[in-house]
Amino acid sequence: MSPNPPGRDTTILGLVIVVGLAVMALAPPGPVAPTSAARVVRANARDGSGSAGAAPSTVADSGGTHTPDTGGAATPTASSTGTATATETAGGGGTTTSRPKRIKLMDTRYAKYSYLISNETLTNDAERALDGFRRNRTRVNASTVRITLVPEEPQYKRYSVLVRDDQKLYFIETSFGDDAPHRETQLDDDAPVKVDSDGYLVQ
Amino acid sequence: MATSSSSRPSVGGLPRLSSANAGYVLPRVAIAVVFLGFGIWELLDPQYWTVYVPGLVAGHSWTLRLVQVHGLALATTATAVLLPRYARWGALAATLLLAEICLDIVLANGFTSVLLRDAGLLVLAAALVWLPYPAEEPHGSDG
Repeated sequence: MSPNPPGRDTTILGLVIVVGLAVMALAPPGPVAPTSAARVVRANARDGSGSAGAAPSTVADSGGTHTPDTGGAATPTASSTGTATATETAGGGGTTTSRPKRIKLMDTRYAKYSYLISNETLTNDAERALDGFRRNRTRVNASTVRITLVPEEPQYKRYSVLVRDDQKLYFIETSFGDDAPHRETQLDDDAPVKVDSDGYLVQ
Repeated sequence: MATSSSSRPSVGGLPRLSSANAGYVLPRVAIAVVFLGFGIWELLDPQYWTVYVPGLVAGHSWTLRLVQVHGLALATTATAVLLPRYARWGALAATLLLAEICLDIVLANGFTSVLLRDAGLLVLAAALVWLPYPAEEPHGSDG
């Protein structure tokens, strides 16, 4: 008796391939995945002029942007009550003259990938999204807190932002596949995004 | 042959584990488990892995399909590594896939702990290509 008939091995291998193809056919992957929140939100900001630099400062490419705001930037719209925008040229590299279109984070496809990180306590999902970062939250004054994300991988730079009490800071993590426990190996899909009290992108 | 087979009956394509064959059975099982696990994961939840898709092919309508195809390749490789007839070819495929993964990590992030881990798996898979399999287990190169 031959322990491993060659025909059987070929059959098993063929069966695995057929099953795999069947899974692909029966479980369509759905809509296109936003593989890089940072890239696409930047593109959104450029396309719609963003909300005066609606492009979020990503940890990866902001080089540890320390927002020069004074208690929180606001969109340059009539309804805004805050100070001037923090990063006028962040999205396009040049000055913006046209009135920007406001973008509501929860109306974008990143809504389901957004995790609130400005609250005092984090949900389990938010903690998981922040794997690879240590979050420091310190109160600056009665109405403002400073959120600092300190990456645990030394090659990445820290991100720090001031968030007013009426604003919220979300962390976009489109894919958890790169997040080992307490580690982040790929920052291209991560972006902290600040929104105003109405949920519109501020920074 | 019959005597040899009855003394070491195979289990699902692999010979029964013993101290004599553990050196080539366990690495194959280990590689297969890793590849099968990630392969099924990529097939069923491609979105989870989109972050590793190179920028050149990211963001297209077929990006998720690409991840699934990669998952199918991983699952097929895992099966091949376990099957005696295709063990060596499976190991070669595993080596190439891990080389691709390592290269992608290097290009995207440089040297990281994940790269170190995958490089270890790469060497393990490469070792299986040259492993002198026992004569009673036919494999791809001479079976």
